[in-house]
Parts: sequence; structure tokens; C-alpha cells
Amino acid sequence: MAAPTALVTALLEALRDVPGLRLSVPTTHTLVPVDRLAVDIGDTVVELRVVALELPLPPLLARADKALRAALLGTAWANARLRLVVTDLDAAALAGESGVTRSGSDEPR
Amino acid sequence: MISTAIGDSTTAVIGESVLAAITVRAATAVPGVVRVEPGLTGLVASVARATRQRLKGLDPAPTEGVRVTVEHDLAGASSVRLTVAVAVRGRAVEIGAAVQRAVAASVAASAGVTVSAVTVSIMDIDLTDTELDD
Repeated sequence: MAAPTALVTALLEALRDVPGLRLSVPTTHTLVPVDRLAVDIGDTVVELRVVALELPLPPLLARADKALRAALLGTAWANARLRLVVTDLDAAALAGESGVTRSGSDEPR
Repeated sequence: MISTAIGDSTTAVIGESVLAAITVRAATAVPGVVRVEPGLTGLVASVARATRQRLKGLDPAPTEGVRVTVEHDLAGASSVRLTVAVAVRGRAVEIGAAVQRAVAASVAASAGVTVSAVTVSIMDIDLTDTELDD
């Protein structure tokens, strides 16, 4: 059984292998490595908060699910529910798509 | 936040700002839409969000002018409200309907989420923009 600290490390490493996602962490300075604040581990639920850097989300999150499930294998959380919370979208996610127009400004088109 | 299943035991939870950013992108790509109108409250909220995100090293996608509402009592149904300015040569009703279709399709394709309603308010007609994009 993996200790939660080791499990958090494994989950963070697994997510680093998924391009297009970045951890969503609070804007704060603590003594705790800040990436760990993007992960919550409960008895039956593992939650990770991320920012998306690309679209569409369904295949991106499916890749994350696969990577994270691999990290959970062999631990006490192998059958836990996984919650992937996409808190925000980076502008890079929209930049590569055709027909994209930046808005929110008063610049004439 | 809107939940959607990925697998048997995995749930994706999509934040309102994600759907708002996709909505802005879809709406502004519709011919005849000049811009999304944020309004003062939306502008202040947007600046605060952008500041927080930039402190974290992110460049947040614009969400100004869009409000996403999730009705938790209706099986998680979500609705989108947005305010736009349109070109003077466009037919406002047709542009609004096109925005509704574009937003619903884009949110479904990009986020895997079905919105129950898209409400478009036309706040301004831009007299300087006389050319419709085709």
C-alpha cells in the first residue's frame, strides 16, 4: 500500500507525461511543494485539479485518466473514483485552432 | 462546475471559466459579431481572474462577457448567457441564432458538455463595422 505522499508524487509524475495539462495550484506561497496542492486523496476519491492547455478536452482527459490509473495500480486507491477538475483554460488552448478570434477587447475587427 | 463521465469510475469536472472561454471563442468567430461585451462587473471579475492566473504563470483564455450557470437541481443542466455587439449590416436576430448554434456546438465538441440553453443579448450595434465577415 502506497503512502499518500508517495502516491501524490506518482500521480504528479504521471500527469507530467500528459501534454496539454498543467496542475492548477492556489496562488500562495507555502513550505509545501506547491504542486502537491493540486491533489486531494480521500478514502475512496482521488482528485486532481488541472488547467487545460489544449482542446478538445475529452481525449485529453482520457489520456490523463489512463496515465493516472496506471499510477494508482497496486495501491489502496486502485479502485478509487478519480475526479479530474479542469479549473481553467489557457489561451494557448485556443491559439492553434482555426477561426479563433481573441475577444474581450474593444479592438476593431 | 459541470460533471461529465470519462470512464466507469472517472469523472471530469469542467469549470465555468473553461466553458466561458470556449463560448467567447465560438461567439467571436460568428460573422457579424464584432465583440463580446463584458460589462463593468464582468470586466472587474475578469481582471481579477487574469491577475490570479498570471501570478501562476498562465495566460488565461478570455471569458469576458459570458456567464455560465449550472442548475444543480436539474440533473446538472447548464446554461450560457452572453452579451455581444454586432455589425450594423447584420440581421441581429440571425446573428444571435448563429451564435446560439455555434456556442452549443463548440462547447459540445471542445468540452464534451451539452448546454441546455444559450441566451444571447445584443447590447450594441457597431456603426463603424459595416462589413460582415463571410
